[in-house]
Amino acid sequence: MGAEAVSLSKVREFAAKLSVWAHLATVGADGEPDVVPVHPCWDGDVLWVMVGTDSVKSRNVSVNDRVAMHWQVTENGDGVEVWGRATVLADLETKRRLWTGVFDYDLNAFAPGGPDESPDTAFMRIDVDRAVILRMYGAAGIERWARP
Amino acid sequence: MISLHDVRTDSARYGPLAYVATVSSAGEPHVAPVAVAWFGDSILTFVRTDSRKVANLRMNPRLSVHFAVGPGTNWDSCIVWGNAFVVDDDRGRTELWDKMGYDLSPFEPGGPTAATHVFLRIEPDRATILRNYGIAGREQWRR
Repeated sequence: MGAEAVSLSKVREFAAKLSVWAHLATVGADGEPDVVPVHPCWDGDVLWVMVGTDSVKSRNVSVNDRVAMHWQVTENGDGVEVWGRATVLADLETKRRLWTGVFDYDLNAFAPGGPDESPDTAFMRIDVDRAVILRMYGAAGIERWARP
Repeated sequence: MISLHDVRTDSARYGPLAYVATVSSAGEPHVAPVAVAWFGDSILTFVRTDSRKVANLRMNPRLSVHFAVGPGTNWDSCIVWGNAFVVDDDRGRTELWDKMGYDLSPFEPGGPTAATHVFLRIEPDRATILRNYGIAGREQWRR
């Protein structure tokens, strides 16, 4: 089955109907993959993930900024995978801006000190450059988006 | 420190679906959902021969497996790292054909000798179990 082209906004809309959880893959300096569950949120066309400054994923993107993320699939196998480049931001301005209004869950549950008193907390910015929508693991259709 | 047996036992809580991460020759990660099953101390999965993960593993056998998370398991995580071997010969596929715990025929009507699917046999060398994202504890195993 051939793949159809879609817009990034359609990818976002489709992903919003899936689980809030996604599996984020990064690559270590030794070339080893790592995959962990995250709760990403869109801010326009950018994806954000709350991270620990010393987490494996944060350390990995400091040496290889390529990441892939697959939303946890639905019962019938619908899913979205995106690829992009990631940077970890721990500056106060970014933390204050993202702390309220961007994420759909309360960040204070994981970092009670809030943006000003959580020095071990940062945010991973993912600039998506391509994506794929998979219906029924791809058996019922595949749609792709790539940054022009 | 826990044993591989403990990892196997814990992984059964999450169901048969897991997310496997591989790396391309260009250093780009890829992550995909797969059905997995334990076969002795190995983890098996049955995938398309022309899939990106198989292409990646032929270049770099390192792989990371993350079992699906959910409220039913209190958001615990089980992550396994290891080397994956691509079983793409008729004898190997035939030996593993009935080891996945579900009928593979609907996915590969050509049976175990069809070249369009392969098994990945993953040999774990370390694993981590995170209780409630690690907030409630972390257990590790290493070969």
